[in-house]
Amino acid sequence: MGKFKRTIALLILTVCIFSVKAQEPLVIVVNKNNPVEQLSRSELIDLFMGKYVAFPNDVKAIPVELDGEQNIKIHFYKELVGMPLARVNAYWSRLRFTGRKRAAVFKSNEEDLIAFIMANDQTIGYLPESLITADLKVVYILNE
Amino acid sequence: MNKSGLVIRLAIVIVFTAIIVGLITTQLFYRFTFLNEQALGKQSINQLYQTVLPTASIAGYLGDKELTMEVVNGLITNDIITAAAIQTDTIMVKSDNFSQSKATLEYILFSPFQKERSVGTLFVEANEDYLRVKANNISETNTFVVAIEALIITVISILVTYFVITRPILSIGNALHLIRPGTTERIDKPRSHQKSEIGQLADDVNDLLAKTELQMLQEKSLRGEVQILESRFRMLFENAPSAIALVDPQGDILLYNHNFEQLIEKLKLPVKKKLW
Repeated sequence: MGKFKRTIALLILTVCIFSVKAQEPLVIVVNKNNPVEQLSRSELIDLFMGKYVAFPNDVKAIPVELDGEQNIKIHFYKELVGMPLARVNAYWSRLRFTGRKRAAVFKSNEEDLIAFIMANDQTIGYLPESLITADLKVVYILNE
Repeated sequence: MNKSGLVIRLAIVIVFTAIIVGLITTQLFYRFTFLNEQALGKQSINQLYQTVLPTASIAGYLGDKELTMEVVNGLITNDIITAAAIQTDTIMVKSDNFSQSKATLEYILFSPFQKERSVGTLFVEANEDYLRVKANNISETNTFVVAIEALIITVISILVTYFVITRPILSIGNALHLIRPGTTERIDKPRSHQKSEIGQLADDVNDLLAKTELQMLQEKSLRGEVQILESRFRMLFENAPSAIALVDPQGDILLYNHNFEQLIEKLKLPVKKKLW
């Protein structure tokens, strides 16, 4: 019985790993009116991890995030900074004590996120490649 | 007490040796302790660095003054760190007494998110005085222990020398003083030296005494024999029927017997008595 359970567990694990591997690339998008054409990985990290709150052209940036622990979010941070979401959250908790505020805006699902980016020129967010619309501009592609 | 006695000589040698060895040991130990403490200090500083590294790299990455200050202040609360500073692209936060020197330890801070992206430098000054004081304290304790050890060894060595060597030899000497050669008297072998060199010395002395006794006995019997021979010869000489005299080339009579005396008297020869 134990062996059977273990086999099932292994199977589930394998499926999970494959599902992560097979996940479609995440893209970082901005409003199409944003003059920024492309961002480097470092610039992205600096924007999402709170080092800078502006685009390279000194225009204020508003990162848009998904709430909670959604797969896309977990995937995004894993790809961007190589950290599990828990550690990213711990990072922000630590910063809260120094009085630093997180500039990000949180949305509960992808639709809201897309709508928010389309409505604001200064926003930047991440989405699965398949959800890109004509009103969004891709500035970086993760896990190509 | 005899100034050149064994115990005194040994004591002087042991005390001097103890002092010299003690000084060398203490010096060596001090050097080793100091180096060891320095290595330990470096290790502790490295550990502290590892402890503050996550916060320091975040502080360096963000260039956040508050967080940087927190790291620097945290570091200087440790005894082994006198001063610390963090320099990033935008800010330089340092503790009051920080001044960069050759001895300042430098650690490059990397971004917490990109391991190859350097975001600043952490400077740490080790508290050499603290390390020195610590090494000194350890060395002082060691010196004290070595001194006590030397003292104990000296005292024990002197006592052992006195009781095991000097006293038995002295007792053999004293016994030898009281012995009359040629008698059956012998010296006692010290009880604790039945098989040692001192026991052998006592044996040798007793052998010598036995030989002396034997020789004296032989001489005594020889003397007796000579005495008997002499008395016999004297009797022969005295009672001989002829007059006998022993005369030296000058005509002095050295020895004469009774008959010679009578002969002289009968012949009425004048005998001049020589008075010495």
